[in-house]
Amino acid sequence: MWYKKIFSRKKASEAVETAALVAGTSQEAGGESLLGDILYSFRQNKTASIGLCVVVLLVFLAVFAPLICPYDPYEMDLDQQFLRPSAGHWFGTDRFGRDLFTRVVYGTRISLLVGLVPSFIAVSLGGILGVFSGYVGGRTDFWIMRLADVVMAFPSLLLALVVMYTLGATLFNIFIALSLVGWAGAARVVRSQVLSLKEMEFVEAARAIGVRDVVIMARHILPNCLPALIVLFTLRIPEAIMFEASLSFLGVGAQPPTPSWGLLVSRGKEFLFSAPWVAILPGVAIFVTVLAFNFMGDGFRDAIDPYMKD
Amino acid sequence: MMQDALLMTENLKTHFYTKKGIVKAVDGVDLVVKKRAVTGLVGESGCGKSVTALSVMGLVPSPAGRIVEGRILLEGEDLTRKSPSEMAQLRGRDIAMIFQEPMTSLNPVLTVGRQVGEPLRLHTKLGREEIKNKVVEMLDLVGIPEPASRLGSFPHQLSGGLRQRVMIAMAMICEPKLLIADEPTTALDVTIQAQILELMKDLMKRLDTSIILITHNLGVVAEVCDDVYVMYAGKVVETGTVFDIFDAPAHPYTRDLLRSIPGIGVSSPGRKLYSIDGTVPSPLNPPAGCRFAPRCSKALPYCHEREPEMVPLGGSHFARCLRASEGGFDHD
Repeated sequence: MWYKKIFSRKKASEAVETAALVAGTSQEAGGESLLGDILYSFRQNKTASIGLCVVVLLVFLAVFAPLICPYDPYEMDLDQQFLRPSAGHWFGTDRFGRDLFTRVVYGTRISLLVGLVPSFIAVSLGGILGVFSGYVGGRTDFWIMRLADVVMAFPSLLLALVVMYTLGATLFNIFIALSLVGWAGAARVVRSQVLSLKEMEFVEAARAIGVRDVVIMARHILPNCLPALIVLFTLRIPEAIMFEASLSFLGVGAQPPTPSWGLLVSRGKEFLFSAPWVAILPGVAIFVTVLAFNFMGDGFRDAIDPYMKD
Repeated sequence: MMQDALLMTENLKTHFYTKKGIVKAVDGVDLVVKKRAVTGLVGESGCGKSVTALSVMGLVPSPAGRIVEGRILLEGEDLTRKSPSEMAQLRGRDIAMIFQEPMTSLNPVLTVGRQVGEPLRLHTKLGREEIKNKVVEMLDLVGIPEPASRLGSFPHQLSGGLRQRVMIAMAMICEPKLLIADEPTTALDVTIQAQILELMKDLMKRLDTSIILITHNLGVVAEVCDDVYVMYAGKVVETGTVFDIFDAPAHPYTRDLLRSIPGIGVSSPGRKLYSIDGTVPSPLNPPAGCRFAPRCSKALPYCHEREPEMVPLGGSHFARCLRASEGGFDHD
């Protein structure tokens, strides 16, 4: 039933706004309990909690990498090539004698950066375009959505490859490539929400007190889309991490000697039979990270909007 | 007489251009809203009362809808000639509106304080503190207990009645000349309805505002309105003071509406409540002649052919009925 959905979405948006404001302003009991609801339902979700723990661990590793790792990720030691995993080198060493554990831990920094920054840009861009598209409607709507269709119809890895080839393989360009392929999905979801939001009476009420359209979009519609945007953002992160790993694996992402996980797997695959750990362990890192973010994202979605599930 | 008119519409026509044809939602409406008075706009769903209000606000949904003819004079100034930005300036400052659904007409993600203060931010140059003080004052005026502690509340933390009070505070904070209330009490329960109506009348006197009250509830009309306009299928079919309308209804439609009110002690148990046969005619092709004729129990053959004009019945009482000039019908 559509009206139930709208109502529930409203509740969810209230919840998120409350969550955002709870830190700054003194809230009444009602507001806190809504935030409490979200946290409670998140905690109830076991997989989500595990995901969150792993993510926290990863952030910790990324931030304190130099303190945790006894070795330098770039320093070669040709006497120590292809050492098996041991107490001294937990993940063994690669073909230049670099400690693989150190390189994987430093790789966390790249993966998290690539997961967060372009996802944020893509979802912000998609959110703004989606609100604009849905609210203004007509020709603007048509062209923005057709552009989104084109982006979505085009194989995104291919699109990213083209961008990387033309702009050059640097971390900054990975951000650009990922932002360019990621906005379309967010724009679509947000637009569909705006289509129903803009018919709500509070939008008309805002008009009735003389609020201009731009302000209505920014202050009245956009905040109501926040729950969807937050969910889109968290679920975009693992995708972006996979993407960077794929690009680096294909050789158009991060360049050696950057300890990007994709690159580590790519370089290690030549020695898959003689020294399998060099390729497999960074692969496991990718797997665990992406899984953790997915768990967390799903849990977050369910907690914020219990009605989104069906 | 005309001097104390705040708002006048002259032959207002608002049409919607749909794929199926032109919908004449408002088809030649003449309204006079007096200063410091409550003017009621009554009629069934789809009779054009809300579109009349939206036309005055300059909020007719475009591009489908458009004011095609007529003038809307607010203190002599023609609103139909104003640019969209001039209208935006006017809305919230000179004309304000409150809506039917207090549940959906407040933004769920903004605090009460923010929303009530918004018209001040838009239309005045007051500073933060001044706005805050004014908001608290206004919330107090509309009868919200502990107004200062409510500033940070979100709409979902308030009851329906409180929300409607917040809406009224938001509409009235700039002390507009005209308040349009579109079914302000329909979504509230009966005890709250009376309080809200009382509040609106009280504010009207204090802040020197006029009110257009849109409703299909004749009980509400009897309670608060000074003048009444009864609308049917885009046209005003009868107008007069509240006494004219309730004591001497001249148009068969008005009479039927009054007979459709359930009353205590009026109808005996088991007797069916009176209802008007048929439905509102399709606005795409309204019937020729009198628009009410197909449903009218008093219709004569010529009612289906001639379009009736407003017939003066003394004072400000008019009815759009060919037979009204006959001196009324037999009461049956």
